[in-house]
Amino acid sequence: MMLNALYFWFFGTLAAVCGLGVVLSRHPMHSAISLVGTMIAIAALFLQLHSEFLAYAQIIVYTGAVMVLIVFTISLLNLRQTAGNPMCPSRWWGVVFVALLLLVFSAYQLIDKSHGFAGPARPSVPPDYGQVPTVARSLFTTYLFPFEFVAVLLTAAVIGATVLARQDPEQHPTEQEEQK
Amino acid sequence: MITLSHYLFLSMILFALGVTGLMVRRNAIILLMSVELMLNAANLAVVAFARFRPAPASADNGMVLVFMVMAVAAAEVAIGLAILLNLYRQRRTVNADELNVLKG
Repeated sequence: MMLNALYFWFFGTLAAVCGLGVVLSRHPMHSAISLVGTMIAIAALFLQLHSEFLAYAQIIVYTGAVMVLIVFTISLLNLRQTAGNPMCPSRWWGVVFVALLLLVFSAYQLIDKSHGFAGPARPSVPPDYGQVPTVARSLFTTYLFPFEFVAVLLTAAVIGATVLARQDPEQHPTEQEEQK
Repeated sequence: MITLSHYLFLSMILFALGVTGLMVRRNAIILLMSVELMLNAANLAVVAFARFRPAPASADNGMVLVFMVMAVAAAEVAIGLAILLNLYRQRRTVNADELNVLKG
């Protein structure tokens, strides 16, 4: 039980610190690396919640595919360091609002004795909980239509991304010369 | 003892960080990453709810939902980055404040 709490606090802190790094880093590449850390920490927390399938999917989809795409785009754009503060100070009032929400939520959790931080412990689960066969069974029976629909969505996204990112040689003649 | 509230609290912190990034930063790539952070926070909350429900015998529903969210997030990033790439080719910037073509 003690080890369980230690595991949660370690990866929870890692996720929060890396999330802070995403927001505060000056260079987008540092933000991307921080985001990888957050996603790995969340995958570790999925493991603690007995959702093995989702933990692996998280690693493969997010750190394996999404973040590689983002990192490649950052290096492709070759962004110049913008001078001055990358933050926008006039929007800090929104941050104050978010902090206020956070405060209200944590106050509620501390006051409510039956559901808050002193709430019930996790129930025990069947041994096949969160395993690949269990998730696959409901994915291919109950949720077959949404599953197939996601396939259509991903195909549309791939075609759309290809069309959008394609470079038309006739349309940007100056850029072609720029690259030479 | 780690309860549901601990996971929800962490999820809330990550979501708040994502909102903060979305409001404070001006680099469009970082805005996309903040959206990913918020989606991840929501996923964590859904998985925690699925794990802590009183009878977790049919709790795959939450996992299927998270799986769908992951797929949609991947599609969103692919399209978003393609749009950014196109935008950078035409305007030479990804600063969200300078992108005002649609302004009347």
